Amino acid sequence: MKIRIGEKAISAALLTALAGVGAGFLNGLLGAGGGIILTLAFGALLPKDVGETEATRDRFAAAVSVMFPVSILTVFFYAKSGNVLPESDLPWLLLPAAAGGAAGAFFMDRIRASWLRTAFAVLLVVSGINMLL
Amino acid sequence: MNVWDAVVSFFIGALSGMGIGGGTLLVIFFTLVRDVPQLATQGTNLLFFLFSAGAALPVHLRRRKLPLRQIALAAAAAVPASFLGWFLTGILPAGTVRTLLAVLLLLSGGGTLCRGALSLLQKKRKKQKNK
Repeated sequence: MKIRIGEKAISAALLTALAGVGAGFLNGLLGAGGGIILTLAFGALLPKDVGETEATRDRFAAAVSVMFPVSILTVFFYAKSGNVLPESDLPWLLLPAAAGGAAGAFFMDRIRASWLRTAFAVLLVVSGINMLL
Repeated sequence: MNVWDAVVSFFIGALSGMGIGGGTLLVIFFTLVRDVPQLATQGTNLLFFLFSAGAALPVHLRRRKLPLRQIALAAAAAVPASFLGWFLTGILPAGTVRTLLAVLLLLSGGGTLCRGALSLLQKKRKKQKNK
């Protein structure tokens, strides 16, 4: 029995590490998408006894917690190679982004966002097709 | 950049803070609306994420139960992989990176739609069983 528990722990650690590698690779290569892999992996790893909505939010929060420190490093690489918009443009983007991010996290528990999620999934598909054409 | 970019940025930040869009919404705005070069879009999107997620993170840390060991392990594994990914952006043609990003958007959007449809089907089945 003990061995089984050990095996489970090892495979969970392996899956976590693999998800981290995949997420980091996408983060570096595409500047996005790492969180998607982590959210899927944490879906398999984290307990689901808290209810579907809470579990989804926990997965998302865990994915953000991983991607935040990794993105600091990736931004450094991108900035070093000159692939960030000029400094004069950044306040227009970054200050509202911080305000919006805090507001979104605050209202996350109060808004039922399933219809918004569907609308944006459609937007992602349409944009993906548009970029391929 | 102008005041409209700031408004769009606020709403994209809010949606990202709610877990909607998979961190790709700004990429779509920059690539398809503002015509920003591919790699500058990606680098700025990461910086944007740091601000929107950085503001959201304290709220999540206070409200959520986070698996700290798994977070640390995944982050440690992600760091060298992110370097490799960034290194490849210097080798691969921008068109290839754009195509890969388009595939990511299709998979992400398609996956969300499929999960939504499956969950709707399961709810319908449960309702029918209860009747």
